[in-house]
Amino acid sequence: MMKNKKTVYKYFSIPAWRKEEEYLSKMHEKGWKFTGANVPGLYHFERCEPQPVTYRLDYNKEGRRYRGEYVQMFKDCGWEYVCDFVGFSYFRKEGSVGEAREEIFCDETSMLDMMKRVFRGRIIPLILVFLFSVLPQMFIQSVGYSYRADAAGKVLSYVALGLAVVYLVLFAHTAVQFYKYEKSVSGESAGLRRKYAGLIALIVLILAGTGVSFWAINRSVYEVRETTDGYVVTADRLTSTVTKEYDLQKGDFVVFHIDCKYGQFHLSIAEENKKDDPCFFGDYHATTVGSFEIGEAGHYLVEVSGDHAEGQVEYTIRHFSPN
Amino acid sequence: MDIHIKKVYVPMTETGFYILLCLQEPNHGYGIVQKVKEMTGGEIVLAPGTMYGSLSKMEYDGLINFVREENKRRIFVITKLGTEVLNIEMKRIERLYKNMKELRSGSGGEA
Repeated sequence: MMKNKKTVYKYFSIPAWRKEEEYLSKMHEKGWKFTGANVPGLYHFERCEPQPVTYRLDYNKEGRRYRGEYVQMFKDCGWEYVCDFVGFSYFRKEGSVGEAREEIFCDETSMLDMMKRVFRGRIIPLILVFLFSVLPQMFIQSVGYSYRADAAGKVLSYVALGLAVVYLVLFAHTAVQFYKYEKSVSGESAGLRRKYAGLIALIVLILAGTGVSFWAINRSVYEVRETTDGYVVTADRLTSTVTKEYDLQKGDFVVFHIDCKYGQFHLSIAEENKKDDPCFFGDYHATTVGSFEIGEAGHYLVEVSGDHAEGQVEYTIRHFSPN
Repeated sequence: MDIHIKKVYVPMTETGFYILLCLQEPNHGYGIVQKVKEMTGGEIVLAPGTMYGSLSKMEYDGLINFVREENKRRIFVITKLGTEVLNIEMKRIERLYKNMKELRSGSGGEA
């Protein structure tokens, strides 16, 4: 027996309602009648007589509120109401696309009005989420992970940065789609080009600004000063690693004094050929004084690193003297 | 009349003009569509998305008022403000028509 129903997953971006209309018309022509859709993009179809049918989408909040009279108006004009999906209302009418009568909008103003309603209803909320949640989250996570100074915080700050980039790409895509739509409705003009070029420039500027500020709040600012048999690392914000090499003997000491005001410092001592398995490793959030005795002679790496660390790390090598 | 109304409705789209013209008597959206089709000999068929959007916008801007509902069809009528806008538009179109007539008969006379 032939299957009479099917569900197809299909993704259309918010401003791609024209593509969606074409898709549904094509399906109907192949004998699949559209019956409804659910999040995240499952389109349900039912087998039918293959025939040319025009599908049209409207976006009208008021129409959704007064559903009865809204649908009645379309019905009176020969349009069958199919369903609502994420704010859009779906209508269809027999007859192929392109026949003069098969439109739900008959003038430029009302087509552009629909575009504006989509912008207000779907895009502005995204802009608000971006400005008041995604962007602040990026800064909070980047600056704030140093309070916890854990790997999860670092990951979160990158997730927030990634999300910000995704939003900006989405906005740029929307601007391009809206430009195409507006061009198809009211024709190309210098003013229209200028408006959308400005918009794209603004998005690129915000993208660049986001990148630069992310870099700036994660940038290492520090100074390394050599002392007799040791080093002092003074950092406003240490996010990278300072490595020094020494040939050490059994019984030598690495004596350190760490003063951490913000974030956290890490001190690691490892033999050159055992970098992944340091013989000494410590995380420091506050003022700490300590020392480590070298157990075996060898070539050693002493690494000072930090997570947004502010403060000073000072260490000295005390050579073993038999006397 | 406030600047917003003037900016949006003067000059007006053909759809907007016919809606106000028809709503000098109470009518619903589809009634207007039929009336306009009749008046223009089938030349102009207003589309439902355009009609619904225009009626909502005009009601919101106070150019028309909701009167009552009949069989799920909302009936509207023009307001004082709507009449003012309609009169401005009618004067503009009359002037347009007069000038067109004059110029056409002028060039016609020379021939």
